[in-house]
Amino acid sequence: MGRIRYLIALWASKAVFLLLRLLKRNATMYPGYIALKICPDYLARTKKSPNVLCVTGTNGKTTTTNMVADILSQSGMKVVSNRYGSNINTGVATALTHSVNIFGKPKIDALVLEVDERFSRLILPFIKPDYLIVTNLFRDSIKRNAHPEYIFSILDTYVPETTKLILNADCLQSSQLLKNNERVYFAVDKLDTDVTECVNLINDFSICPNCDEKLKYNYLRYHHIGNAYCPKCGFKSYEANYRLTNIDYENQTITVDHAGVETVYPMVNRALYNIYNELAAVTLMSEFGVDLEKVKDYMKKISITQTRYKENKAGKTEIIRTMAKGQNSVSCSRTFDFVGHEEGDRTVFIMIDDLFERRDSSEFVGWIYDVDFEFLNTDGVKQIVLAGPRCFDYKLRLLIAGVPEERILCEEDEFKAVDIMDKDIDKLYLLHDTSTYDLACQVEAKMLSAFTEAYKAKGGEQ
Amino acid sequence: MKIEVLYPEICCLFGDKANMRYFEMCLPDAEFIKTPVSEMPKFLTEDVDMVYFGSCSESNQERILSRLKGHEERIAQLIEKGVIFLMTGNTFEIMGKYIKKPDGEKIEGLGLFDFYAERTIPKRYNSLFLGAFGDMEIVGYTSRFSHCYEINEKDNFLTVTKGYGSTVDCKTEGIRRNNLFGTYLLGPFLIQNPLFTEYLMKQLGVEEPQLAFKDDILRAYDVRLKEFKKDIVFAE
Repeated sequence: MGRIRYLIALWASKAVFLLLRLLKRNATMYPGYIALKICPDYLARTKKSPNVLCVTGTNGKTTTTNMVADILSQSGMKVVSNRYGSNINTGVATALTHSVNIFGKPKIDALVLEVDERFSRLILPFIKPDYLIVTNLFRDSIKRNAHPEYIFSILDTYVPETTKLILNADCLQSSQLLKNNERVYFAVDKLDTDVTECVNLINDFSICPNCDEKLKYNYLRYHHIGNAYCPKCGFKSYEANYRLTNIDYENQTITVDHAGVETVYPMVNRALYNIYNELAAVTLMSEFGVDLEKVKDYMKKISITQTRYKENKAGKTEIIRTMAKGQNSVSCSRTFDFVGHEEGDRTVFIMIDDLFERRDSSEFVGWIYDVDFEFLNTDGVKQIVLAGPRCFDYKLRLLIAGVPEERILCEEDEFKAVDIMDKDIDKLYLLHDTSTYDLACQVEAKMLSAFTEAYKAKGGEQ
Repeated sequence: MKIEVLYPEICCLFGDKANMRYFEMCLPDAEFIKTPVSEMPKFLTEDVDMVYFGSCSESNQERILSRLKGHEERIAQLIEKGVIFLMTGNTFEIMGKYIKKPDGEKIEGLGLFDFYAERTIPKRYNSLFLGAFGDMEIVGYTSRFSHCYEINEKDNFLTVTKGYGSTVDCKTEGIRRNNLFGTYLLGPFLIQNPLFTEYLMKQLGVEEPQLAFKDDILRAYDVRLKEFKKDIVFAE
């Protein structure tokens, strides 16, 4: 009976997918939703492809998953991934539908899945991944994820004991997961920009988990990312099996040492958080057995998905649209750090309100007080445009961060903000939330024409 | 004026740290002492004018209790004396009789109030808040894994207009005794409620309180107040 119900669920899921595609609708979640409605144990019952590789963690899941899927595809493997879909149980169920034929037999070589860390309890025990990357664990949405300890407890309880872990030794939180599982660690060696005292507003792993003593750092990169030890009881960070030993920004390469052998890879993106994502992907590929010489070639063809990062030129202004996930204080702080330390005169346009909450509710903005807006308080940032209904809260936050009031432009309507902002600038960073992606693209289009027009009006040629 | 910020490295979830950061800007002459979890609180042995506790995780709530157990009498004396205690988020739960975990285990509280708390993990409760402290309108937000039950009528802090109180349906929110204020509201509570911040400064003996960024903070408060009075979704 169970088998028949499973097949009905599978066929219904495939039929719904085809129907949605015919109607040109998004078909990434609903096929899986139908499958789980008909057959609640659909994830467990689906025969898995020979290789199941998963990525979870607070930040970097999508980028890392896409890199892994791209590398395996380039290596000639047949891969199914939920890269354009949802990372909760329904999205994973949709991916599983694509991974098997109508008889439920696997038709691919590898399943590469991004798994939401909070939903992992509904996914990982049933799909039993061979490998799991945990990119990091930070604070995220207060409503959904509460605090990092809560997410840690979910992963620590529900990751199968047979899963080999790829862990970030620099993340003091996630590196402590599942001590009985087989694992390898990756880490970025000490950098010139590292410190030994935290400069960020939040550090969720600042005291020793064994004796409460304040941890000391051999190096601290940001928040709780670094290499620490307890001066009292001997607790310390794990040694990494894969060490990023050099970042060459000029030649756009990274060097990774594994067991004394150094390999140089093309740098996919210069932001440090994306270098971590690349290192995680390289580590998994090495453990999975992909020829690292070929991985070097595959990496050359990989770019960060345009929903996350895109560069354009309008007149003399370089417009960079990049994600700063709202309600995720670390994601925003990382982006602000990156933008704050870039060179040249620049404007930062911030539209990270939650689009869904603004429709019929009001967003809790406490999280913005965990975000390092202080990184934007630098001379190179000539104007900060705060766009959206919560702009008055953001203005107050910037004032508390010490940003001079004359550098702040506050406007509830995003499009009007484009009209009134200063257009004589070298670089413009448009920072948006996942929920404001579509709106950000429209704002970006308006920026492209407005900045081009302004440039022409001043006598410049495009 | 001496203000002790207790255990800022663990009592710092959800933007709560901003309360004392902003308060420092309003009270540039006050001394702010940040006591880490590895040290004994100063208020146990010294005179302080105010103590602040921010939100923390459930395990850290138990860690705090382990530090403060045995000092109940001193804390009770300070409350009677009128020392200001401000506790945002879930930290005020430690003042009650016990905290009941989902598996039934009870963690003994400080027993300074008669209520008890009950955790609901993994069920999380999120709600906007509109209410009042006397005739002062209070706005805020709660996000939590627990509720408090059987708070004495005389110990209630806020009245609820919209949103969750000490439980989902309760029409009062938090605890108050003399100058101890405990609320489930979290994040930048003092920034979002400038009138209450002024009130606290007066309780500290400041005759003419000066809010930092006064115009901007009052504008943000007014915008939020108007928004919260509209027919919007308060809780999911």
